[in-house]
Amino acid sequence: MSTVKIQGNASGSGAFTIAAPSGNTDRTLTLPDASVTVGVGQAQAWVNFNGTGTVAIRGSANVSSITDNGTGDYNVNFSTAMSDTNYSVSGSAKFETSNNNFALSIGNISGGGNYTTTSLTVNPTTGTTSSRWDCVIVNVQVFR
Amino acid sequence: MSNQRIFYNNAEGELCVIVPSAEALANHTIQEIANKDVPSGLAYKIGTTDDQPSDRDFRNAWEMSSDEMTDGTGAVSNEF
Repeated sequence: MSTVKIQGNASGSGAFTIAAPSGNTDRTLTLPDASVTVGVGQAQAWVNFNGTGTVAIRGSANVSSITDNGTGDYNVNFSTAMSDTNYSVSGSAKFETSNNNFALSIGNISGGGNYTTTSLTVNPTTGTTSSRWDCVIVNVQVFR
Repeated sequence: MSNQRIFYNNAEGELCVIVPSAEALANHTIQEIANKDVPSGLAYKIGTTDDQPSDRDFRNAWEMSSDEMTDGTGAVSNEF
């Protein structure tokens, strides 16, 4: 059987903490069969959803839900809040019936959107007009 | 994939539909998700995709009477 070893750092005094999840389901951290160094900038949340027809989430992490506010207007709601609003967001959107290059407007505050520690508004647009569009694939990633 | 949905009218009276994630439903009830993700003080209805139109051509015209939203109100906190 393998052993588990946790090693402190002689040059630092900061505590290392492993925090339990907020839910009632047991979770297991499984490492790959190779040495890894966990760095900064890991995705804190991501979601892939269908924004057309019956809006549905295909896959996600640290996302409790999305809110369909209207045409091309969605909130991504985080399961666990970000530590502050200095996080970075990237994303993409694919329109169903054209090859237009859709941009993803993030946190449209003046349009009534959110950019908070607990949720984020995303709006697919063509980039040439302010119109919002329902898109068949909407991807959002949050890094902190 | 769950067909459960949460409906509420926002401050402008527009119908908003919350789609819960599978990961959230694995750890929390739909009511807990509603309490967290519905804005504070707004009444909500817990239903299914059968309660909403599937045609999004007129999505911004979707309506639901506030009288139907009797399952709870959004909590002050947006965290579980």
